[in-house]
Amino acid sequence: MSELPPSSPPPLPPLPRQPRRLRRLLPVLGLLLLLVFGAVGLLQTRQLELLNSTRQYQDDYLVWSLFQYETEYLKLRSHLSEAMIKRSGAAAQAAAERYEIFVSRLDLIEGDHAAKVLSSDTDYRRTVERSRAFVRWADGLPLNAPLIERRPELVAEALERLAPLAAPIHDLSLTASHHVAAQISARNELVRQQSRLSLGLTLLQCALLLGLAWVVMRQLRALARHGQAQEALAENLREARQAAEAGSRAKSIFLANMSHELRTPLHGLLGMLGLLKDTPLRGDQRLQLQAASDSARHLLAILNDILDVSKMEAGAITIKAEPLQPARLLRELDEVCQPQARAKGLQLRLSQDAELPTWISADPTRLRQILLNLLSNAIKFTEQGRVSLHLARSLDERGGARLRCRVEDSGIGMDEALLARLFQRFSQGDSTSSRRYGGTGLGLEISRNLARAMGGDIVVSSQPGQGSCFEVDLPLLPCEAPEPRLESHAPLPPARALRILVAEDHATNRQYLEAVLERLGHRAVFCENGFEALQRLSLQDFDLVLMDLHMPVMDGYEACRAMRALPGPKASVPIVALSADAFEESRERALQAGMADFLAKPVDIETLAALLARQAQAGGAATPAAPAAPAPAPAGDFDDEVLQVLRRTLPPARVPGLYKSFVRELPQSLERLERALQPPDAEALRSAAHAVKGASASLGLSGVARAARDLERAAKQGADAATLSENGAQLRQALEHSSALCAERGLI
Amino acid sequence: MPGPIPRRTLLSLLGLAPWIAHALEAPSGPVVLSLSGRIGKPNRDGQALFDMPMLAALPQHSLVQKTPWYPSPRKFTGPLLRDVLAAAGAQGQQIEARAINDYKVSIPMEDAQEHGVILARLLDDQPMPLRDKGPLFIMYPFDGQTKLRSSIYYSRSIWQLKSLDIR
Repeated sequence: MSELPPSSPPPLPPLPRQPRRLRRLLPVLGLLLLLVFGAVGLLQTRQLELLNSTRQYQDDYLVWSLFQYETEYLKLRSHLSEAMIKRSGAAAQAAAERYEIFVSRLDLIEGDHAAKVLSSDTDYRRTVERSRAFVRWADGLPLNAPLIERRPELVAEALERLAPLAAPIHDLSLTASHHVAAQISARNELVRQQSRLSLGLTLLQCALLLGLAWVVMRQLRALARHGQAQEALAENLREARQAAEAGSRAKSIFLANMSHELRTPLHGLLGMLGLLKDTPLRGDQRLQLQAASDSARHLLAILNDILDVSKMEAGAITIKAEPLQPARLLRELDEVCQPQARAKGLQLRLSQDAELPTWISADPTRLRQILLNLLSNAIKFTEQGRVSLHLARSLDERGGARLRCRVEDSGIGMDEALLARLFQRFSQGDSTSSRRYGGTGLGLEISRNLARAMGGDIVVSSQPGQGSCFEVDLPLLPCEAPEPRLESHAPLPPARALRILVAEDHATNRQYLEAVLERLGHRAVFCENGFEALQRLSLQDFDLVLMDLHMPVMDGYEACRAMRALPGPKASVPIVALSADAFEESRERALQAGMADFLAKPVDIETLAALLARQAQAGGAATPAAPAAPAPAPAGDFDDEVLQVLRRTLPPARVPGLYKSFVRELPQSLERLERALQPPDAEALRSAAHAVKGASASLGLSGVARAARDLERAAKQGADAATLSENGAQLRQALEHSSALCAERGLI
Repeated sequence: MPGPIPRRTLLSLLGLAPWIAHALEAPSGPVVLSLSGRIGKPNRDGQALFDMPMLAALPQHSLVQKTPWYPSPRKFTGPLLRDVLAAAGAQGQQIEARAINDYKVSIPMEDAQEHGVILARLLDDQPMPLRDKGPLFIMYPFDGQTKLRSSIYYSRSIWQLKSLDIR
C-alpha cells in the first residue's frame, strides 16, 4: 500500500504579461528611423548637388571679371593716351585691339550670371549702361586703328568720355567683391545649417536606434521570462503527472496484490474441489460440489477481468494474429454459449456471410474473448426471445475490407443515459441490475480496449425494451490456410522399439516423457536422479539414456562420466542430455562430458521422435542433432498451442494426467521455493527454478516457465538479494496461478 | 570629340616626325597663333606660326555643349589641339598658353593627348571676333567627362588665344 498523491500541485507562477505598449512602439520606431534615413539621404544629395553646381566657379569668376574689366578700362585709357601722343600705326593698332578686349570684358560682366547676381544693384546697372553708351558711341565712329591714327581729336573725346567711368567701375569691382563675399557667407551659412541638421539627424538616429535596442532587449527579456515561466509550469505539470501516476500505480499494485491475495486461496479452493470430485460422493453432495465449483470459477473469472484491466493500463496487452477459421470460431462459441441460452429458453443463432474468407488473420484468443463477452451479456440481459451473432464482410469508406461481428438480442435494451456510460468502468445498467445480473462491469471495457488494440472498435445501438445491438468492427485480413498439422492419434510406427533409461527428477516431466515415449512405441524405465540411473544401467541393458542435467544427489554430467567409466559395452551407450537451459555452454559441457546429443526442454515430440528414429536406425551410433533453437517464450501465461500439440500427439486421456501431476507437485515446489527465499539463497533458488522450468515449458505453462527462467538466470548471474526475492515472488505467483490456468481449461 | 589618331601624330609621338613629316609651310595671311619653345618644325624665326587657313586645313572637329561662359549650349569648331601641336612638331611636358588679354595658363601636354581638346576657331560656325572671345578658344569636351567640369579645367579653357610656348 502506498501513499496517495498530494492533494493538489503547488500553485503556478503567473505568466508575465506581454508588454503590448512596447510592441506597438516597435513599428513607430522603425518608421521614424526610416524617415530619418530618408532625410539624411536627401540632405546628402543636396550637398552633393551643391558641390556639383558651377555656381562657385561662376561667383569667383564674376569677381575676377569685374576686376579684369577695371584693369582693361585702365589699359584702354593708357593705350589711347599713348596712341594720341605717339601717333604711330603700331600704337593705334594696339589701342584698337585694347578697345576690342575692353568690349569683350563688358560682354562678360553683362553676362547671364552677372545680371542675375547683381541685378538688384542700381550702381551695377547704371555703370554697365554708361559703359554700353560709350561702346555705342565708339562703335559709331568706329574706333579702329586708322581712326585712332588719323583723328586725335576723337581719341581725345573718347578719353574724355571714359574719364567719368573710372570711379563707378572701381566701385563696381568692390561692390561685386562684397557681394560675392556675402554670397559665400550665405553659402557657408547654408552648409553650416545643413551640417547642423545632419548632426541633429544623426543624434536622432542614435536615439532611435538606442530606443529600438531597448525595446528589443525588453522583448527578449520578456520572452526569456515567459520561457522560464513555461518551464516552471511544465515542471509543475510533470510533478503533478508523476504524482498522479504514482497514485495510479499504487492503486494498480493494490489491485494486483488484492487479486493475488484473493486468487491464492481460490486456487486452493479449486484444487481441493477438483480433488473432492474424484472421491466417492452422494448425489446431492455432487450437486453442492458443482455449485461450489461454479462459484469459485466465476470468482476467478472476475479476478481475471480485473487483472486484464490492470494489464491494459500498463499497456502490456499484446495482439498475436494468426490464421483463424471464422466457421470454427462460431462452432466453439456455439458449444460454450448454447447451454447457457438453452437454460434460459433463448434461441441462439450464430451465422456468417458466405463471402467471408475461410481463413482470416486475427488473434483467436482475444476475438473469442470479445465475442464471448458480448454473447454472455446478451444472454444474461435477455429473458425471452433470441440472441444472434452474425459475422459479415463489409467495406469502409476507403475501400478497406472490414469484419463486422453483430450481436443482437431481444432483451431489455438500454436508454441513452445508460448507453453513454456503458463502456465506463464498473458501470452496469443500474445498481439494481448489478445486483440482479452480477458481473464486474469490466467486460465491455476490456472488449472495447481489445477491439481498439486490434485496429477496430465496438459500437452499440439500443432502445429500452427493443433489445440491443453490439457491432464489433475489425480490419479483415484474409490469409492462407496454415500448414496442415499432424492430426492423427495413431502411434507413430517406430523403426525399432528402443529400451530407454530416463533420469529425470521432476515427476511431471517423467509423466510427460512416459506418455511421449509410449506414444512413440518405445519402452522406458524412469529414475529420479543420476545415481539411480547409474545403478540401473549397471544392472540392465539400454539402447539409450535420456539424462536430465540438473538433478539432486548426482547430476547429469557426473552420471554421464560415471557411465562412461562402466566396464564393457555399457560405457558406450548413447546418452542424450535433457536440459531446460538451452544455452550453448550447457550444450557444449554436456557434449564434453561424453553425451551424444542435447535436447532442450520443453522437449518437442517431433524432435524427440526424429532423434529416437535416428538412434533406432543407427543401432546405437550417435549422430548429434542440430542444436535446438531456444523456444521463444509466449507472451501469455498459458500457451494453448502447446496444449493443442499435446492433445494431438498424445493419447487424449494422458494429457490431463500430466497437468494433474504438475499441480500435485505444486505444494512441494512452492515449499522448496519458500525455503530458498528465506533468506534468498542463490544456489537453492537456481535449483528450485530449474526444477520447474522444464516441466512447465513442456506443459505450455509459459508464465511459470518464464518466471523460472528469469529466476534461474538471476541466480546464475549472482543478482542481489532484492532481485532474487522479486524474481522468486514472481515465480511463486506464477506457480500459484498455474493451477487456476489448468482448472480454467478443464485439465485438473 | 577625339577621332582616330592621325598617322603623323603617332609618328611625332615616336619622335620620328623630324625625319619623315613635311616641313610646316609658312603662313601667308595674318598670324593668329604662334608656337614657340620645344617645337620640331618651326617655319619662321624658330617659331611655328599659323594663319587661320592653316588651322582650317587641319581635320576639323565640333563640340556642342553647355559652358560657364554662355547661357545656352553652343557649337565650337576647330582642329584638335594635338593635331596643331603635331603640325608644329611640339614635344614637351607643359604648354604655356597666352591670351591677347594678357591671361596666361599652363596646360599639361596630356590634356591635349587624352581629352580631345579642340582649338575652337568657329562659334556656331561663325568666326569669333576679338570682342567675342576670338579668334581662338581652347575648348575641353565638358559634356563627355564629368571630371572636367571643375575650376581647374575651366581656367585652362583660355580664349583670345595668341600663343603656345612648349616646355
